[in-house]
Amino acid sequence: MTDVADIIIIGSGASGAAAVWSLSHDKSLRIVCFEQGSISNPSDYPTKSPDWELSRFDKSSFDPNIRKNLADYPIDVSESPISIANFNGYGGSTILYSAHFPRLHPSDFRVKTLDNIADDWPINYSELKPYFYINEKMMGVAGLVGDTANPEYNSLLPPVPLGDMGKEMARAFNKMNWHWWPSYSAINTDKRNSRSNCINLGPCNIGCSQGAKGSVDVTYWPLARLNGVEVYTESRVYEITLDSKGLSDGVLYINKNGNECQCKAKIVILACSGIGTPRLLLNSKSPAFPDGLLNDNGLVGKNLMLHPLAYVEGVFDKDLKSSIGPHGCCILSQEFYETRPENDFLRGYTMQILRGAPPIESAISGYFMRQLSIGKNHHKDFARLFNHTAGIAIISEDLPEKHNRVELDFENKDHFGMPGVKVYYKMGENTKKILKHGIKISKEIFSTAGAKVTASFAPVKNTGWHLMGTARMGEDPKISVVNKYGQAHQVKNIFIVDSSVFVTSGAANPVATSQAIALFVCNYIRNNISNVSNSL
Amino acid sequence: MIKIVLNTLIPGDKKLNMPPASEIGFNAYEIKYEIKQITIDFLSELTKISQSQFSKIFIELGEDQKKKALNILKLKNIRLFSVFLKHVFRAYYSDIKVLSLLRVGSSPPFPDGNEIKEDDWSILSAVYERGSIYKIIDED
Repeated sequence: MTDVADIIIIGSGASGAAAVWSLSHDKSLRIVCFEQGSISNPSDYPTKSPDWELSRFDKSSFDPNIRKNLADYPIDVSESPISIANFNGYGGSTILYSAHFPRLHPSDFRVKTLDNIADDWPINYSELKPYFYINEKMMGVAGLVGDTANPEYNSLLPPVPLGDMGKEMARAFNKMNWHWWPSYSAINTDKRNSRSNCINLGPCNIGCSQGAKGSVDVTYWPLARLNGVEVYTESRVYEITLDSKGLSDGVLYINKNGNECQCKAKIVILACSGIGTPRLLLNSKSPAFPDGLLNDNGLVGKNLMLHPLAYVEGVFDKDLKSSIGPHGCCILSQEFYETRPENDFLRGYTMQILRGAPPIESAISGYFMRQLSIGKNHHKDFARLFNHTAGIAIISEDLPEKHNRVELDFENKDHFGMPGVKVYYKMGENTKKILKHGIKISKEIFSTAGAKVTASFAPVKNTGWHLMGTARMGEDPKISVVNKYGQAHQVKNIFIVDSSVFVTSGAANPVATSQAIALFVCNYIRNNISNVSNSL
Repeated sequence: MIKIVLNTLIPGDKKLNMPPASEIGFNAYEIKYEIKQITIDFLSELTKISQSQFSKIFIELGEDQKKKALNILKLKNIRLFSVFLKHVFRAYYSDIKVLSLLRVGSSPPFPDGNEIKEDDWSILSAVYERGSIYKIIDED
């Protein structure tokens, strides 16, 4: 079966959804999005059941190797201290993300100029600024305007409440005279459009039944579909094809009935994540690209950046009801975000304050951190821990290094026979120093707050959410895969809009920046559509 | 035997009004999550240790001996011990009765939600007073 579209977008997650919405303004275009997973129904999310926490170990796990849905593909992380977290389905990983939504900083786009490391981006913050605004409006971002570390925001929904724990931590930052600010959170704090407001349950990262969390299935997608975008779910694209002119003429995919199909298109856009995008490119071999599509310079899959995280946990004497409220969204500190001459490392980190763990996680981590016993003192110990804890996640700048990479894994294939991926990743020396500093500072914060530190370690294994750099942008085709418009250097009608294109990682959650890039790229496509299309 | 093992791991606490682990539906959990074999292996190991160390079956041991037997199992087979204990924690702390006694906040069915007091943003005065830490970049 052969189908014909004007534009194909592969992946319906954060960047794919922003891209389809942007392009769907031109209703004359036939836009088809391919999504390998299925559509989740928010009313089926486990938050509605008392045993919701158990789903984290099973069908709502963010580890594809545990979840093992049909849409998931094997990811071998035996050569990485950090495992990959994602969700393959309509809405992508935004279904399970915590919705912490800061932007990268202007300095992040100029690290070569400022710090003589890595490379500058071919794009700058000012160029992305209009798209940050649009994206925050579309996603519904809560926060507070006036941040002394991020003054560029001009309109946000009311901030997510701090709660007693957040206030204790904020006071500690004040005592240290260090920056803190209410988190930028893609969470409806007021009822907005057809979505409910947040009711402070906590378990955002198993899906939000209220639709208060800004996952793209409830933000961009409803509008894109109203504009006529079609979504082929449970359809796995396994190859992007080229014609005799060297342009892409579409994709080959396996549909939900298991049939091999073709869809032709004038433009192909990849939005499959920093792992999925290189996987598909590497699997798309042709005489023109025998080592994988766009991989003539060997850079597809290289320079993987994962934002290694350190974690420090503190326990307060008081019951702060800390498990109540959006778990990943409370306050952040970017006191140590920028390079400082007194540090033995370049660039820096964000401290993301996390609310207390729910009951099962409190018990399990409490036991293995030796804070909770079994036997007669178990309940006393548990009462001292539960609702008394706070966490600090230190999100470090991760610099691009070629040896950090993803490769196809022919030993482990997905349900349809397409190779999985193997991740090769080692933390850089600069990153290790950043994490060490972040742990020291976090301990000082807890000590100032009057909390006892019960855990501190790095890197945290199950935190590879931020997948960046594996098809980087740049002006020079020798050292990059796409240009500043996400357009492949070697095939002008292929674009990449996910965080694969990041040149460096910054030290903040990447989704806001990744979506702003998607909107920027699609604006370019709209304005140049005849020049960037295959005539078929 | 499983009841005794569960109560050794998580006994009841009258003062805190918490039930012992045997009073929650561990059997239903075992079936739902298909972990029966793990329980069988755990109990079998514990039986062997009780016999070899104390010449008694586990349920006949005194409280201290039970603790010692569990500790020996932990040292001998940390993986089995950890996996089983995690399941006990998961079963116990997902039980509706336990959750309501813990006052975990809003209980299903939602959406009742949890109230969090409104914030007084004068708490940010110190941050404002310190001034900008924003790094201005020459983008040209």
